[in-house]
Amino acid sequence: MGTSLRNISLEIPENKITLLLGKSGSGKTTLLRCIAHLEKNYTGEILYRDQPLSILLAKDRCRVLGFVPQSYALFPHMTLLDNCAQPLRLQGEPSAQAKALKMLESLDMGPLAHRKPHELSGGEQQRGAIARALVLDPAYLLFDEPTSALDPENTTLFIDLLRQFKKGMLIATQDMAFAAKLLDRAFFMENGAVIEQYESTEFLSLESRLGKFLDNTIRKK
Amino acid sequence: MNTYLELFFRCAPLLLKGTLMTLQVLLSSALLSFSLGTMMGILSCGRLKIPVISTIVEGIAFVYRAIPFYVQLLIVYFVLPDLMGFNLEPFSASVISLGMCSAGYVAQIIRGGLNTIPLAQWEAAEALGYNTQNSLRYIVLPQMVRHVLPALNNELDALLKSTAVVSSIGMLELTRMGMNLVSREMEPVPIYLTVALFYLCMSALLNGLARKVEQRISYVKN
Repeated sequence: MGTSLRNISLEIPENKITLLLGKSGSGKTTLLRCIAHLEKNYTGEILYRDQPLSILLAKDRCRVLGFVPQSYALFPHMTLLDNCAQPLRLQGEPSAQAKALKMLESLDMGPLAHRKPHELSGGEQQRGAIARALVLDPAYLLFDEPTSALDPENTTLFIDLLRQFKKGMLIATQDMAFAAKLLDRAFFMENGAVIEQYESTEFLSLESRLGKFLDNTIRKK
Repeated sequence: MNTYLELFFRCAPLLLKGTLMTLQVLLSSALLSFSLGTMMGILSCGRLKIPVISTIVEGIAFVYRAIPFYVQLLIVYFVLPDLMGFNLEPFSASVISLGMCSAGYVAQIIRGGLNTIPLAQWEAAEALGYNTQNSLRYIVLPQMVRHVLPALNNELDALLKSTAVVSSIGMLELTRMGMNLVSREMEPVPIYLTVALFYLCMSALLNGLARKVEQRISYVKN
């Protein structure tokens, strides 16, 4: 059961990186899951170009939103290539295999295409999950705590990777070092509500705001 | 020793005929049990529950498990034809009762197996445009089979041994053949021991096959 959300109203621009920030239990992941339509029990509307996302079929929704879960959730019985090609096959794409391979190659994953997820490192699995979401060419990519299982080196690689994409991105994270390097736009959440919104120019104040918040949390503990 | 060898060669044709019948009953009832049990298991798994229908299916699976197999066999062979006004051959009655009884257990195995698949796998599939049918077909069932194969193998073993009970309604399977041969030859010890050996061989064969399949579909090759 996720955190209850209250009075959320926000706009996520295309072709920009938007961050959802806040401590654990603030509602970031719940909001991300509502947008990805993985939580269906909510009131209100989530619109894409004035159309409610809830009325779309799963096969159409995945063309709007690509979701990369915190655990990556690659399908363990399939090779990386099949992980990426199968969604295309289900969409009736005739050259699914070739397109999937091209996508993997564009992320430097070509040589790993025939490996199964358990044969990949954490960073490689993440890139695999991104390739799988990207192969359907969605308008937005949603990430849930993308750096939680990455070491600093892989986090840097991940940031470089994100900068290559011309996509709207919504990233739920509490990793401030990561957020500081990426920010275009951020929403700060607490107790299931968006309490503040920042643009990149205001980031210094956000950083100090979060710094104070984190200090308080540590002191309380 | 020679006497026993002569006895074995005299009995072997009928014992093999019985073995063949046992295998026919086993394979037919396993087919019924695994397909019915899989459907019932899918309908009672936490994520795919359908109001009312799932409760009814769980109730039926419980009845299949709760009533002893022998009683189910008697009901299918004697009671059902009487109520419905048709005759059932011993073979059909055996397959139906074995299949139904075992389906109750298979349903539990499948339900348990489906519930072990992490929620993230279902959600990742949904986010990638898989509908429920495709999620089951391409993502969930292939993973689940790997988890439940040892339990299904156990169920197949149990089913093999339960086929001995259908001798009570006149099925000429391995156990009944053994009993008939004992009446003819008056040599219960070697004949029943040979019957036991035949069951042991069939079980070893099934276990060997299951182990091969298990290795073949495992993610990690040992």
